[in-house]
Amino acid sequence: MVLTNAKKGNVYRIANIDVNESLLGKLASLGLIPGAEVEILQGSVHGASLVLCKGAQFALGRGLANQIQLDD
Amino acid sequence: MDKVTSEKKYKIVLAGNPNSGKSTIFNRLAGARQHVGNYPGVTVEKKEGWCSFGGRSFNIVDLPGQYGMTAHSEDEEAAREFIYENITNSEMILVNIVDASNFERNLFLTLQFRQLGVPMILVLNMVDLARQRGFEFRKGEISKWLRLPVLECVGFTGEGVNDIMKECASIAEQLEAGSYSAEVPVWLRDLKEKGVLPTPITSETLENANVPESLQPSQAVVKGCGAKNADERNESETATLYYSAISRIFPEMLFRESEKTIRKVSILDRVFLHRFLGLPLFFLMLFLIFQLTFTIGEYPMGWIEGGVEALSEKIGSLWPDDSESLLKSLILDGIIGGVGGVIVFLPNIFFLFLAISLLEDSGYMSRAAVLMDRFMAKIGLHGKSFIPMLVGFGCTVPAIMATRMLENRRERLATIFVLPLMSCGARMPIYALLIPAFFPTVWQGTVLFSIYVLGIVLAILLAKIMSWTVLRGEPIPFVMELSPWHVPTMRTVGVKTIERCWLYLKKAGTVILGISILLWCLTTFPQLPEEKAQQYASEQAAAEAALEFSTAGRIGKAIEPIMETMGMDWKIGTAFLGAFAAKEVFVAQMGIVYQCGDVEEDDSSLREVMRKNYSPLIGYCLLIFALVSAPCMATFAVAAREAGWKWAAAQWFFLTLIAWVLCTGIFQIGTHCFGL
Repeated sequence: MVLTNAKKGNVYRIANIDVNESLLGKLASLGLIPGAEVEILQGSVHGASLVLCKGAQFALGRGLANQIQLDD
Repeated sequence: MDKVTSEKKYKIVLAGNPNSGKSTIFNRLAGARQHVGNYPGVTVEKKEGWCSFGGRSFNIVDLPGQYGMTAHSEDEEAAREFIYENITNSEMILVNIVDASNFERNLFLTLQFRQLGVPMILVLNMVDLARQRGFEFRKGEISKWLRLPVLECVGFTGEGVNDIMKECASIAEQLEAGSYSAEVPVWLRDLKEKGVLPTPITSETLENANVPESLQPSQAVVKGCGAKNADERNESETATLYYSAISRIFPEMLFRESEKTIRKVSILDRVFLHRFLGLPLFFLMLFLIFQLTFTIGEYPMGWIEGGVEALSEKIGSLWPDDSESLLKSLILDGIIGGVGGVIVFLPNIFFLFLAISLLEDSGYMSRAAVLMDRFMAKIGLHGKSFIPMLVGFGCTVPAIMATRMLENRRERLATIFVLPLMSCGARMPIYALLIPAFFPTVWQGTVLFSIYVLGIVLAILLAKIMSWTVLRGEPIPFVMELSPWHVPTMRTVGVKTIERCWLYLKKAGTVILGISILLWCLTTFPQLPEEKAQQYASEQAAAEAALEFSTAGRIGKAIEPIMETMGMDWKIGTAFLGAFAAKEVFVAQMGIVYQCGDVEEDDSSLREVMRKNYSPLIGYCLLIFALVSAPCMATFAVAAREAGWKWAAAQWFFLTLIAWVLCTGIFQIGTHCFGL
């Protein structure tokens, strides 16, 4: 399932992030890596998803949220 | 008492994640003894300060926030470059400031720093907040794993900040005595070189230098990068490796009292990011900022204006009344007139920067970027681009600096390119002069509003066109950390605001001063020969003739054919030449060409003359031309430094071209089709 479709309030594990290496590296420095746990705080805030990962809150644009695969 | 054996001055370098509270600690340590190396903006190039402790004087540097040592933005790049540059001179003490309530993620950067093998301290900042969330740190364990001193502090209250200095002084002493060792822990070295993770052992085992070779890499790592050496692993693989290590050592480093972590969207986020309320609140906020900037700012502006006038009179009285001294003219018209005209905007700038600092420090800015991203992405810009654009309504120069926070060069160039279209504060005097001159009172507000809107619409169109042509590319995915909401402290907001104002003043004292003198020369030389000047009936007629004879007047005449298509003449051309130095100079120049002597923007005699000479249609074209054409010299200089000369030149040329096409179109259609 992609992050965009994830349910609010649930915790998931990131399975795969389908983006180029540079962006992958940037996301990694933020703590968003495959294997990391994310909690969905809010599904869509003006097109962005609000998530909690390793204690920090992030807004992810819709395009990016669609490229993040989650384990159920 | 203190034996200063060497002249070595140690650099205390504060580094860490964005929002880890570095600047607060920096302000506590350096106090007033600090300066910023460059123009202001939301992020600042390099903040430096001084501090003495135990008879030793230290240099303190506050680096821009960074998430990792692989730079993904110009801020991160600046921080990384600074660290690399100072790595070999053995004078750097790296103070890694960590947001304690967000320790796990922050450790990623800490491990990267630690691997450099430089003298280093780990500071757990905001421990009060972390305790509220149920964290209790085992400082001894952290210190053993990382082999460095670990301190706790609360930057906002100053608790524990002094310990940082104490520790730095102690390190400096050890460095001088040659007894300091910053050797990288074995497991961390292995992690970097072989991709081998520490076994889930306690830190006591680490005390032995002989860590067994056969440390077990985790499953996730075996898949990707276990076999490769450090150079072959790519960034994300390395990151995975680091996080695996962190997930092992992290539980050893603290006690966590159940799961007290805040796992809910805060009330403020519910309101400010609300589906329906979010945007209206955002626009209300913008509206309030403008009210604050321009309404309240008006009062101190009046005082400054009065002060500049008084100074001008005082100095003028040193000469006899009818003196034609060139020096008097240079000082009064050139220097005081030019620089004074810029200083007058200081209150506007102050309130604008105050509001921006408040929004930044409270955490609202990042939320606003989220709100705007969907729209901004459609025109090829980034959610964060709107912050420089907001600053642009105050002054384009700091706005261009603020684009540094954009990570992608393409978006950054596009943002810089359209920034001059955000009508800056210096255009206000032009509008204030022209609008009442040509339009009835009931229309004045609408005309002013239409100019601001036109600027925004043009910026959107231009950004969109660029995203189709010269700056084509994939849309940049939006990801942003939303720092927790803070109540901003007077101290940090105050320091930030005053710092930015000071830099604005410095600009007035240097660039603008230089340009004012240059411009004065252009309008003064060559001088009209004495015998010719006497032919004129009035002094004012002679002044006009003198201007026509001067270099500026000649340039104005030379470009008259271009101005004519917009219904304008050489006098306006000359005035716009002045506007290149600083937009508001336009008003003063018009005063001179129309023989009204020294004028202010509310001068009715000049308005009278303008009304007689030009139609309202030309008046409107003038407004547009003032908005769109030729960004001022200071903007040009900063754009050139930030985006390169070619871009700055292209920007200058195209904006002027667009202004010309637009004004010519409006004038020609207006005259021929509507007979205006």
